[in-house]
Amino acid sequence: MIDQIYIEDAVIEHPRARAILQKFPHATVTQCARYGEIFNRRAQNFRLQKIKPALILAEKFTNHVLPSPPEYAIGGEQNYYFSHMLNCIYDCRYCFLQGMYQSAHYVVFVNYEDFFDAISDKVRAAGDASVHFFSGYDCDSLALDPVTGFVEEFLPVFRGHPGALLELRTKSTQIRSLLAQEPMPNCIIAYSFTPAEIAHAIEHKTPAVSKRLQALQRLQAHGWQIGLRFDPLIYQEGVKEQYKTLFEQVFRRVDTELLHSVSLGSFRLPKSYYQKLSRLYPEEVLFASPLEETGDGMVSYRENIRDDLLSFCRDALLCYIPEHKFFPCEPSPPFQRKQERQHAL
Amino acid sequence: MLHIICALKPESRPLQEHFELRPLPGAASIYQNPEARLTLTLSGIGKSAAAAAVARTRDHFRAGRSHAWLNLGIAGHASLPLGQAAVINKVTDAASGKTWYPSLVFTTTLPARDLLTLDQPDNDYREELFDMECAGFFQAANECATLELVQALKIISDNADQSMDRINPDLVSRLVTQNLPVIEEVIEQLLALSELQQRLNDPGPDYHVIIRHRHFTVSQGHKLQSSLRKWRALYPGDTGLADRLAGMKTAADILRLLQDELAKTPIRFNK
Ligand code: SF4
Repeated sequence: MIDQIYIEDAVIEHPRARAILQKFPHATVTQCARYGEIFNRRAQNFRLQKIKPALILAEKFTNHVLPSPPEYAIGGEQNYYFSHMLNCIYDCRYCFLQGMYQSAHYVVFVNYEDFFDAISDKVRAAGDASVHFFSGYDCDSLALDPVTGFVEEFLPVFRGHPGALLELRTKSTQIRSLLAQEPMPNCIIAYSFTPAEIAHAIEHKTPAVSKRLQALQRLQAHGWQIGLRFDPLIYQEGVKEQYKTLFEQVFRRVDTELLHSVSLGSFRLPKSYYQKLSRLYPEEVLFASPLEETGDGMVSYRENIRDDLLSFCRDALLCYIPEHKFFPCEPSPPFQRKQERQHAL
Repeated sequence: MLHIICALKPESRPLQEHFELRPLPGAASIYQNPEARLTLTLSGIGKSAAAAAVARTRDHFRAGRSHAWLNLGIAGHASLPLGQAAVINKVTDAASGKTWYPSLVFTTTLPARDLLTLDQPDNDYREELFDMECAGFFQAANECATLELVQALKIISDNADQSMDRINPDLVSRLVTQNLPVIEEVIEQLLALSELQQRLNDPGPDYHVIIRHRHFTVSQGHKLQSSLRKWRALYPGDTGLADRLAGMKTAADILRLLQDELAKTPIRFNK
């Protein structure tokens, strides 16, 4: 699966880096000074690289934990995200990572301890305020878990901070390490869904909706709290019927008593990302959809389509769940975060 | 299109024969195959010569970002056997310390190796390959093409046991000849990537027909390209669009019609 690994000189002896290298005994290993030499180079083509991405093992020096985009909020007073990894093994055509990064290579930051410290600092600084942490903004939280050991390493940190909530956002069925652990009341496994027809067409390489539902059901049976994320909402002909079927499928399997939260968000991208993506994938129907600029530098569905689909899905969902578990998303431009990040690299 | 840059005639000769590369009239040391998909430029020895050969080739073929580039030649290594071929995944210019990391997005049976480009021949064999051109090649070719389309393939010509004094033109040609199957494999994959990139960048035949007899401003031209992209996504088999627009006189009319039609078209992912 991974033939090429780049590794920063500084982490070549890092035990976590060594453990990851051992999982790919046949990969070619190339040393570099800083991962940015490879990851941030100009004139890379995300689509071509996605054919065969490399793995980059690196160290992150700053900004381990950052304020999260408002649309992620599910009731916390303070909201942060952290990314032990950049990029994703899946290939959803709407994914903003394709617009944000020059490179499709996967970066794993192996200095988890610095993330742990930054998380603990934020929890302490929050005092009595409720504080939520999100993983899965710059990657899928679980998809590469067998390689990164993310669950096994990060969850104990949150066991030590029972007042802080962690959300792992995913489409993955890599749940073995979650099933091997005692469920935590302050951790939510949040699954993203689009109707099966749409997932099949544009969520390339992801587990099928039915497989995600099986994983979700097993997690719930084991005692894990579940979140449902219908974000982004994707439009096509007959879409309301498709979302209706999806909700029926999902709520037939989910115990809503044990459901933590459900959120909803429209498809949206910063204009520059949309332009890049539509050039990378000119044949993609998604980018020929009735989209418009929303006035805040974002591109989204035309207002009537957007509002109609949002309100349809909202009403349909509220037939299954109580209002206090429902969190409609407010959009925010991720490009602001990109500038923060570039500063940090 | 793929451009091969070779330093020496003995390196290029087997390639010229195998790929039917013929000298281009009026372009010294540039060769091309009959299908005009593959070219070869002889650079001479050294970084500057390699960079100059890239520039010469780029100018001659007006090479855009979707053209692929391959530096093909011999290299030394401490222990790899003579004739072993390798693709390169890190190039360091010994003089400046500058590095390049070619992005290998195709599958190959060849090992991937680090390479050091030296300014002078050297008998101090080491655990990375070394040559005298590759850094100059990457410096220049990365300026003109997408990173994934710029690659190097090197064949071991000398090692600690069989030093460079024994290198002669016949040996070099023989080493290249025995690697022709893997060279061809790499070339085919690079050509496929280049053609994919070309297709992605190409506004399509309709675009050229539509703008031929009408005046489009720069911004109208961009809008037309964007509308045609959407059109092709929604009607992938439609080849008659330009004909249907033949009666429309102005750019504004055409853009309006396309936008109206696109707005009416149902969005279906599984067509
Ligand atoms: S799963 Fe999430 S992070 Fe991965 S490609 Fe899809 S949208 Fe992007």
